[in-house]
Amino acid sequence: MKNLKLKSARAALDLSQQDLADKVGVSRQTINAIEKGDYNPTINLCRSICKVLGKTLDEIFWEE
Amino acid sequence: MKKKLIPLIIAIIIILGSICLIPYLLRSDETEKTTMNWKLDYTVENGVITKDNLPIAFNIDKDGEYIIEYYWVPEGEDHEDILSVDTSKVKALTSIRISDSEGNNVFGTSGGALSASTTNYLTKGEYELKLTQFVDRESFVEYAKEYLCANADAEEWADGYDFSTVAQNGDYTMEYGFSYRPVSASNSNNLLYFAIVILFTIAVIIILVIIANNGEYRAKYDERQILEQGKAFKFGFFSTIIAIGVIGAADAFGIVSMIDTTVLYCSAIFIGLGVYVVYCVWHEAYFGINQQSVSVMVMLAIIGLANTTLSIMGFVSGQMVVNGIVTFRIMNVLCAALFFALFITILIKKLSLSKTSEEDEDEDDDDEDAVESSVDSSVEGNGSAGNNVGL
Repeated sequence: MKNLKLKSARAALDLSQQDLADKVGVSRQTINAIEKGDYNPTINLCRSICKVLGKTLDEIFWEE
Repeated sequence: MKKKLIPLIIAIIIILGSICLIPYLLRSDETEKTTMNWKLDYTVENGVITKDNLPIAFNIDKDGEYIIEYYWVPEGEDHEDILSVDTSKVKALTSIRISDSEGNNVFGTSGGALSASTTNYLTKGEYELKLTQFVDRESFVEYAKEYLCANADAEEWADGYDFSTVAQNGDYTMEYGFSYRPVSASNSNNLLYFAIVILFTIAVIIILVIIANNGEYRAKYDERQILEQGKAFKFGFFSTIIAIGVIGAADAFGIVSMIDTTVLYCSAIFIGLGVYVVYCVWHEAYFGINQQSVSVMVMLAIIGLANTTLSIMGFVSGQMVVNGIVTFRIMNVLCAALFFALFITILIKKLSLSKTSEEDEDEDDDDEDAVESSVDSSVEGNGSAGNNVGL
């Protein structure tokens, strides 16, 4: 399942996948895979992404 | 800049090593051969050969492995029925036997082979070569039991020949040839080349260790890449096991007898390695997040070309296939294939990734409507985000 919340949060900060990847310390393909729903990140990576985007884990990764 | 130079430095070291090994790769395995030829006159009278056991002495100057080659040729076609080299026409057998100065049998054979060779370890000293001819089964079996093989085998061996027709009476001449040569011209030269390989290998390992211990140059992989590398390792491992199983079965049934056994099993390792790297590249787990693929691609192309050159040299010098058997030199071809396969995979992946990036941008536009509501909600949620930064 696609993670549109992550994509929208990234877009809101006007960050490209590469920008977010650089800030988090992963490859662009990893961010792409998370957004496409091809990869489930570990809790550590989720926390790092949330910190960069200024969001909570629930806001980005909790499915309602 | 320095980071880009490191693969280049490694490639240069490998190329230098290869250049140093060119004399070894172009060497000829032919060593100085000592050949003896002679004619043996003999008479067959009432089925009995009146002259045999012609002893010929020769000296071995140095301990080592020697290739022994021998042949016997009847003079003129008329003689072929008497002492034939064709096993289907054998009516008398010639046996060749070599004994050392103490009379111990060190080598012996018999049969209808025109020529044959084998490798024998001979110590320094005097040797004697004897030829014995047989026109009846009993004398051959007795001789074979003593000098050539076990008792049961001697009977079986004799069954393979037709002694029913006794050689015609008359005077005959048979030409014989015998040669021996050391397997290798100089072990000291081989040791030198071996030392060169070891030194260059150590040089490459040292550079790789320096890179691995230097935080700036060390490849950094994210968690997804490490996960994919684990999967790649699993596939590579099982590919190797399956390849070894298939190759082992093929080897056991003699299907691949034209290929050197070492090559067969090394190719299984190459298969596993190929699966590992191609899987890693395809799942974007081959290059670290701090690595540039271009410099690595240049290195892969250089190593691939170097191996292609060595392969061509191997074919030209005739060392790739010796006596109808594919030798270990074929590994250069496998190396070249592996590096070019990796190069092409990286190239295709880079092209597909650039295409994917364009598609992602298009997809962003398509998803815009769907995302809008989420953006609104996330913008609203920014106010509370600050409280959760310290998660």
